[in-house]
Amino acid sequence: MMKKGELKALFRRNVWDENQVLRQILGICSLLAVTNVLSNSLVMGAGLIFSVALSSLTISLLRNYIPHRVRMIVQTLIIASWVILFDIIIKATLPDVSRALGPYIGLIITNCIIMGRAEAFAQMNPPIESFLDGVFAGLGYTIVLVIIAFIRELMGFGTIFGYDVNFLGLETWTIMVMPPAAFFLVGVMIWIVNNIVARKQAVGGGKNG
Amino acid sequence: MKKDSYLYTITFTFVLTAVFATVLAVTQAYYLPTITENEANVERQAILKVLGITSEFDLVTTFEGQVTPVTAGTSSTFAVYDEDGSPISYAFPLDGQGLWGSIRGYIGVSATFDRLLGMEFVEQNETPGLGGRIDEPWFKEQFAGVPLIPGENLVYGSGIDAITGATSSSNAVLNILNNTISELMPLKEVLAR
Repeated sequence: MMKKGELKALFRRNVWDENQVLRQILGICSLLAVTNVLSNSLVMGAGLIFSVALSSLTISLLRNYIPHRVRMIVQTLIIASWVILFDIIIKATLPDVSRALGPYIGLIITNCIIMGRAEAFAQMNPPIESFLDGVFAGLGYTIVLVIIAFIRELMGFGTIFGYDVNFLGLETWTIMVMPPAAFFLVGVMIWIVNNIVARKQAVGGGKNG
Repeated sequence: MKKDSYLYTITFTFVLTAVFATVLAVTQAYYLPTITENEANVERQAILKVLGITSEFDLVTTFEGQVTPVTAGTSSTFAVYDEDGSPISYAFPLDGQGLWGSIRGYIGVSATFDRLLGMEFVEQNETPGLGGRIDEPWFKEQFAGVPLIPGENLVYGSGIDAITGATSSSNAVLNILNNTISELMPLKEVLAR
């Protein structure tokens, strides 16, 4: 079992230091597509956490049995199975959300984050660690998604979770609803985060030197 | 068996694929009725809405109780009859090409074919925030009560407004609507019998 300190380090690394979107620039395609409304972003985030955590768990459990030369095919098979399962469940239980997200749930299969975690972590770490690594990686992605969706929905539609909050009757920005806005926002976020990290490294370097 | 051997690799891949495919097939089979029902409910909701019927009880009961499927031409049509069995209104499917993908929905027409009762979409892929606004209530509600004159197309400006910044989607809707109406006009005689 993991120690508390290790768990904290794993969480911190996945959500902040190596955030999949802001530090590794993965999962951008789905981010551009679904972040115009908060509710869709949350379901997308949930779908990714579900898929990446369970894929990592499965791959980790099978890691000593998977023949090395077909490991990527096997990983894709496992990932695709979990994503399709999630898609079927959402279609049956949340039909409105499923309609709104259209093909994007199925496209989680191609989300680079899942394959990335499988290759970089799950295939050489024990199951529980891999599962948590997946959860945290998905969480890091979801947090960024929600922040961007909050800004886009607020400025693009004047709503939050579909509730009208545009009390002043301000003009909404159509560009915020379209994919370019996500590019701008994610760019600004990467810039801010990189600056914070760079400053910390500079301070740390100063102490050591 | 050696882990690098062809036999192991093939057996492993085969077994794993079979396991996952089975799990997915079972789940799909288990949820299929629910998924089909959900899809049917979207259609039912749209049909009731264009006919101006509010569902008092649950959707399926209201739909089965009030709406009768009829055959007219090639399209699936739904009719509402009064107590004497004479028609009050019809719902016709709407189908055509939007800016990005197909637009599908229903329109409600009075029994005398002189008035549009409503319009709803069940499928559209227009740009969210621009063309996607064709699915907003204010836009669709404009079409309720519009008079239909044989041989005359509906145009924007006379009581119906297009969407600013979404000319292509607005025109697409109008084209689909005009095509559908001109196709269903001859059905008036067929349905009256």
